Amino acid sequence: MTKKQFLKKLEEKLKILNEAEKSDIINEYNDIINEKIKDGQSEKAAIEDFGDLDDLAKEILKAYKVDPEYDNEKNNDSFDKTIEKAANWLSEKANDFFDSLKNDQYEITAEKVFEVVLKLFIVLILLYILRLPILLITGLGMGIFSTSIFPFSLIQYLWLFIVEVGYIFLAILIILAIFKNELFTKKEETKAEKPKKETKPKQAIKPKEAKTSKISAPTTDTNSIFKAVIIIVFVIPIILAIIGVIPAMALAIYFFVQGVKIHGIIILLIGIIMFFAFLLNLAFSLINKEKIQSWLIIVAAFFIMLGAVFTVDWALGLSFEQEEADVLVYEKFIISKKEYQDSRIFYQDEIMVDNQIEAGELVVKIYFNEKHQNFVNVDRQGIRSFNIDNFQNFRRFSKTFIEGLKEDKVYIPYYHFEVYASQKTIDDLEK
Amino acid sequence: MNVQFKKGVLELVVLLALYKKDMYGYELVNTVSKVISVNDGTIYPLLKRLSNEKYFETYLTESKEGPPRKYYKITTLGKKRTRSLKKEWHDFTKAISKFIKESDISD
Repeated sequence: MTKKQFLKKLEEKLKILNEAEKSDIINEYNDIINEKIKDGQSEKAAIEDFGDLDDLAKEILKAYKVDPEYDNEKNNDSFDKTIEKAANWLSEKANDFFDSLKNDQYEITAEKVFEVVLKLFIVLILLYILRLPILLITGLGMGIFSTSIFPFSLIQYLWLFIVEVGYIFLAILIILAIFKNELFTKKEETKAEKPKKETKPKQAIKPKEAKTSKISAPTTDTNSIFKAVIIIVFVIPIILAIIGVIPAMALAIYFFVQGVKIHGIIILLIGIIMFFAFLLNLAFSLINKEKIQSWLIIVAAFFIMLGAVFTVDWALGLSFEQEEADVLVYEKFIISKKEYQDSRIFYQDEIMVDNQIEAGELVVKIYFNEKHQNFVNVDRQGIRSFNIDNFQNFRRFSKTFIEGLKEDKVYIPYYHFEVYASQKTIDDLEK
Repeated sequence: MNVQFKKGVLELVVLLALYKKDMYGYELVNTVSKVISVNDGTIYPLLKRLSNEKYFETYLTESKEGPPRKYYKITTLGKKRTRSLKKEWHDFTKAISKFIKESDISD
């Protein structure tokens, strides 16, 4: 801390005092520090002699019979207090960080600035180019999944999410890799300082060993903060993404085993998992200076391309067939006006008039394909088709779906219904 | 020296130092440090407190080597306080010394 910072902080803590007193005190401390410097002490030592700044301020305030804790009572709202404390802590840390930058031999030369700007350009161009394969992959996946029946069609959004997340990680890792020298402390130091610094890292290793197994000794605190940030922000989400891909893989394998020619998607997923593994490896190599397993990205790219080719080939070979609705079932039931109003939304078509129907009755006819006869349900609240909310029905439904896929056919379920009532009934209900 | 002893007697030492002559802050601390070692963080707030209690007054004088210096000067009230503290100290140490002798602990 410099004298200026010390006096500024002290003044801030004494802000409750009136101007005259406050400036009197600050001036006096300024004089004292100057005297000590004149006597041969360094600015730093002179300030350290005062001990802890907070305690000093407290003692001074006590001389004015001011309760040093007054500041805590001022904000009864503890939320405000926490924010204030956090802001103070943050600004202190930021100041300390910039001070440490100044103190280290971090020279800002024109050369260095130019280098950084150039690297920034390169990064931006790389990131932009990277968008292209990402767009391709995203579009492919979404196209495939959106043709599935709900709820499988939702997988396309999961796909989008996974791919975007992968892009973000890759982008940030690229940034880190290119700016590695700027962000992390250089290992090469001037020869004069080498013997001194060698003892420092040894001391730094001991407390850090408890934290993680293989982090090499950082020479500044900010360095280890960066590493912790990398771990939390990248490594953990990448692992979660891999875990997220596993159900997709399981599903694909299941389909494959059932006979659907879905090997393309399986290979694609394998490639994706390898890609994530590569991202992990990249992150760890930045942290631990481990070797980058570049073969991972090559094999991953190969798998992804191969898988994409097979998948596209298979997808293009699918034929989409509209099922025939050839079975008829009908129900008639009496519906109260309220029920009708509540469930109007289900009556997509207008009710057709058939005056031979008794008053107050609705006749509902529904046509569907015999494959789905177990799912279609007509009940008082409306016409529900494909009632697959119990597990057995779901199993049967997926079975028919898979059977279709085996033959490279996707059956689009089709049903059709009509509602009849007498004119009088309609008038009564519509009122 | 025991921290508790120091705390109790610091005020007395400061007052006595200024009893003899006016001094500026840094000079005073040096004088006191020759008698008992004390931390800057303790003594300067103490000076402030004793000033606020009107035992000192302060004045500025021009100094050749730099900015004007603030000098501490003991007041009448301060002198009274010095005398009473000094007496308290004598009574106190007398009673303690006596008690130590009675307890028959050899040095």
